[in-house]
Amino acid sequence: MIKRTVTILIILAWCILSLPTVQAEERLPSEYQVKLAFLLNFARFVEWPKDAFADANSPIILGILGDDPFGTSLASIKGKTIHGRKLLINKFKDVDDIRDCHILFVSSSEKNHLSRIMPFLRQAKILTVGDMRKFAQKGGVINFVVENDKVGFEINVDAGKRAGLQISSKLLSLARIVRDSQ
Amino acid sequence: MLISMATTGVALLISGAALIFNEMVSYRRSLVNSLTVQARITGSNSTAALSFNNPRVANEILGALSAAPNIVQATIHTREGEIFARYLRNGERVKPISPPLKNGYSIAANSIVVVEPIILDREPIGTILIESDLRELLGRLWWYTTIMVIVFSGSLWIAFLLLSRMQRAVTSPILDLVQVMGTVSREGDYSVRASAWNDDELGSLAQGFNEMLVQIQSRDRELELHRRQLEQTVASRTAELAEANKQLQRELVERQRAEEQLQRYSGELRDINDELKSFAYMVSHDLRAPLINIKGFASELDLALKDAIPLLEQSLTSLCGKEREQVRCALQQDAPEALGFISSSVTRMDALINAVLQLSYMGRREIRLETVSVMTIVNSILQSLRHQLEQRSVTVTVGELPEIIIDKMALEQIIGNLLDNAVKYLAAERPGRIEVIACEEADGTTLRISDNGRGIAPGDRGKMFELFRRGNCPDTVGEGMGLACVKTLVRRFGGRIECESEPGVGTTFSVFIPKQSDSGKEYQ
Repeated sequence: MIKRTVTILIILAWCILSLPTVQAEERLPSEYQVKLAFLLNFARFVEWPKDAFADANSPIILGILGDDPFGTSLASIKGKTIHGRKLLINKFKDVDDIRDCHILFVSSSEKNHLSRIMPFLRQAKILTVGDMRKFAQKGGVINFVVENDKVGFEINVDAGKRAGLQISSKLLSLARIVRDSQ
Repeated sequence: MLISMATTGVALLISGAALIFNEMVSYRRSLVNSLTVQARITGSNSTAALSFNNPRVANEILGALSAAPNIVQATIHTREGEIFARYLRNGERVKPISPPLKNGYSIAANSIVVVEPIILDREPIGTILIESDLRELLGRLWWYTTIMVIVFSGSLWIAFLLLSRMQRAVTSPILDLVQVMGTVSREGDYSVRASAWNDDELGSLAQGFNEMLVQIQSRDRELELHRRQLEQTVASRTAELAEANKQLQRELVERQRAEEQLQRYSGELRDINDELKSFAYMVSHDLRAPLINIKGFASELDLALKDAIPLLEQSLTSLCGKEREQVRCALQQDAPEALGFISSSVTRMDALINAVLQLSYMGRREIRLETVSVMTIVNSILQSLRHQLEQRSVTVTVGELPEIIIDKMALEQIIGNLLDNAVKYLAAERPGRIEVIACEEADGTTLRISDNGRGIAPGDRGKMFELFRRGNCPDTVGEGMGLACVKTLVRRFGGRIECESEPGVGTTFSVFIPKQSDSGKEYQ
């Protein structure tokens, strides 16, 4: 009897809550939408060395290495500006393709090629953002972490210094700080 | 004292209130400023938490606001307005926040709310709201008011002490001055002096007052002197005037007396004149009756004598021849001759009396003034004298003659007599020439009648206007009344008659007749 009542109550509760949640799901951003927004926000809390840009008007370039997980969401960030610079998006299939780039999103599709990619990235003055385990520990600057359905991130302060980037303490206060560990 | 205290009190009160008001306003402004700064700092600190959707960190950041006990609550809102993080002071309940958040600050009765945008990379990513209570403001207000009341009462008390001390120094000279002024104005005594005090404004005031008093006193003295002099002058002038007046009065009285006397004399004269006139009239009138008797009885005697003569002739025969001759001579020659003398004398006497009558009539006749043409009168007189003029072949020249206002009959008498005389006394040995001219003057007319007759001897000139005087010549007739009559008439008109004459050359009579007023004034 009690079991049945509880079951009915749960069904009722689901019925009541289901409608708003459906609507909420439509409205709530997906994981990669959040990550894309985070990418942009990272850039806002990071300062590049002066020689990273040709002049005051040159654009800031977001590179995507590997498979593009964002899909149509990329269209939504078109025309945005960061630090007063126009944002351009460049997609690279291979690490050798990488040319002028300020932010590089390393897709999870590249996790098996890290040993080939990282030596190059360690030398470059690029804010690298990974989407795979141990990316930061392996020398990436920022790495996305998903815990309890919430998007968080790790920051390798050493990697940031290496890349000549100044990362805001506000950003650091939100991140899990990691160090290089081969 | 009261005024000073009130003034001081009001000044203190106003300045205190202004100070407090200013303090409150500036404190409130600084509170708003500090809240705004806090909101900006907190907002800026929470940009990362907000942009990376980390309410936990945002709440931690907001929690730092607990260091400011006046902040009641603080919230961070997303761009869409939803509450992202919230801070509440210990023991505070959640207060509703009205949804449309407007940047800036708003002040309610007991709270200040500051709303600031949270900006990241020039883009608003959310809003921060901080609400503070006014506990500190009210506390400060209370504190200031207390301080002010203490300062106010203390200042007033000190002011009171100072004023009462100073009043003595200030008011006693003034009171002294007032007393002196009172003495001056009440008793008019300018000799009093205010005691000069210290060498300050009051001292110079007293000194100035004293100088003024000195000046007034000297003016007063001078004025008194002038007044006395003036009085003396006035008194002496008044005395002179009175004297002159008295003299004038005396003279007036004398003059009046003289006038009265004159009038009396004039009256007496008039009476005498009237008496004379009536006397002349009476004499001439009454004398005529006996004359007529004499004349009548003389002729009666003549007739009787003539009747008696034949009878006497008869009776004379009885007498001797010599006696007869004597009687005859007496009766026929002496008696008629005497009778003829008597008769002619009586006739002459009658003529004389007639003339006197006429003269007295002229003197009494009423004058009737009218406008008379002198020319007409002269012509009519010459006409009546024409026979004589032709007989003596006299040339008469008549000049331009005016019209004058006068009694016509009197003028006829005057001119007639003068012309008659001129003709009568012409020289027999040369042809006669008579001239009549007139001379108009401002106040009258002068008629001039000239002849080339015998003239009048200087010895006779004084007598010629007298009654019954006649020129010394046997060949003329007249009663000697003409010139007397002319003079009488001319005098009645206020005129005068003058005569220029040279024996053997001629005579000129000038008659001045003044202008007669129509009112018919009569000259006596």
